[in-house]
Amino acid sequence: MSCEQFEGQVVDLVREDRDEGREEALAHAERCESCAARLENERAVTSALRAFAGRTAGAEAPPRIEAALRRALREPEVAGGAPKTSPSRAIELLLLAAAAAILAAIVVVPPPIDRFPERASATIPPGLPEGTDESADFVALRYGEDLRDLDSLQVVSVELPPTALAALGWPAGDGGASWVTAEVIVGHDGVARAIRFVE
Amino acid sequence: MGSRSRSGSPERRIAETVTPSDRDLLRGVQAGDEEAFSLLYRRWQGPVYRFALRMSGSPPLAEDVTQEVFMALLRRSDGYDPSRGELSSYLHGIARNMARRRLERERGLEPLGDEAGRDDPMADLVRRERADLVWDGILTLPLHYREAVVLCDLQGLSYEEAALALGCAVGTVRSRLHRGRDQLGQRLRSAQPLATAALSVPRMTR
Repeated sequence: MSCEQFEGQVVDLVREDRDEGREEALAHAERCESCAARLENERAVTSALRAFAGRTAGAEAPPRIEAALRRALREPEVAGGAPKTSPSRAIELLLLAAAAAILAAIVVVPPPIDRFPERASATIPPGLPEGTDESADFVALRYGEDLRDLDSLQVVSVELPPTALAALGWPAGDGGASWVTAEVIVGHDGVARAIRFVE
Repeated sequence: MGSRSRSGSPERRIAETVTPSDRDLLRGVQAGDEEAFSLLYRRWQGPVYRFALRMSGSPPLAEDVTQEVFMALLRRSDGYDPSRGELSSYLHGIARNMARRRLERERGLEPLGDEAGRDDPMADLVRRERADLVWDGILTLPLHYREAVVLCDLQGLSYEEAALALGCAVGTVRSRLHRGRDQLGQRLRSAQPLATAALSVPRMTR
C-alpha cells in the first residue's frame, strides 16, 4: 500500500467503517512514520468528536415544541396536508427590515400597551392611532406565540412594498401597485409579532 | 408494518406490534392521529434537535428548526418515500436545509447562542461546551464540511444516509468528511498549545 492509498483510507480506518484493507493499512502505518503520525492525528480527532457527541447526547427540544405541534395538528389545513399560511421567520425578518427602514422617516409610535387584551389574531389592541381602519384583524407573525404573555407591545404604522403582501400570501396586484400601509405590533424586544394591512 | 411481521420469532412479532414502525406512525399522522404524531415526534425530535444544535451552537435556532421540520412533516407527511431510505435521512435532510438557510441568513450577526436565556439549563450546557475547542472548531468549519462531520461523526449516519440527507453522492460525503476532519484536526492542534499556555499563567503567578 502506498502513502497515497493510505491517505484515502485513513478516515474509514479510524471510524471503523469497513474491514476491507484494514490490516494492510495498519501494517503500512507500522512501517511508515508519517502515515503513523497521520493515523494518530485522525484517532485524536475521532476521540475528541466522540467525547463531544457524548457530552451533547442528552440535548432535546423543550416540551413546548411538541405541544405547539400538537396544536397545529388539530388545525384542519395542517392535518389535511395543505400548506399553512402563517409566515416564516424569513418573512418576519423581511418585514422587520422594511419597517426599520421606513420607521426612520415616517414613524408614528403610540404609547406602549401594557398588556395585549385578548386574542392576538382577532382583537384590536387599545392605543391605535386615530383614523386607522379597525375592520381588519391582525395576523400573528410568530407561530405558537401568545401575545398575551408579553409584557408590553407597541403598534407601529409602516409602509411596505407590494412584495411583502405576496410574501404573506395576500394578492400583490399586478406588480405596479404602490406601497401599502400596514400596522405592526412590536414587542418590547423590537420583534414584530403581528401585522394588519390597513389598505 | 405488515411486510415485517410476516417473519421472525414470536417475540419479535410482539415487539413489532408494540413498537410501531415509522411508516405506521406516518399513516396515523396523515389521518390526524395525535398519539401517532407524538410517538413519531418523541422518536425523532432528539436527533433533529441535536443536529441543528451541533450545526449552529444555538438552542433557539435548534428549537426553530425542530419545530419547522415537524411542521413540514405534518404538512407533507406523504413526502417521505420509504423506498429511498430511512426516515432519519429524510428528517435530517429537511433539518439540514432549514438550518443552512438560517445560518446563511444570520451570518455576520451576533454569534449564535449568545441570545440564550441565562437561566436555561440548555443554554448553560451550550455555553460550557462552546468554550470547548471541539465545538468551536466544528462551528468554524465551512458549512458543507460541517454538515458532513456532524452527520457522520456526531449523528452517527452512514455515508449512504448522509448522502441522501445532503442530496449528493456518497463519494462527495466521504471527501467532505475527510477535508472537514482535516481542518478540524489542524484547528485543534493549533489551538491546544495556546489553551495550555493560557492555563499555565495562573499557576505561574501564584
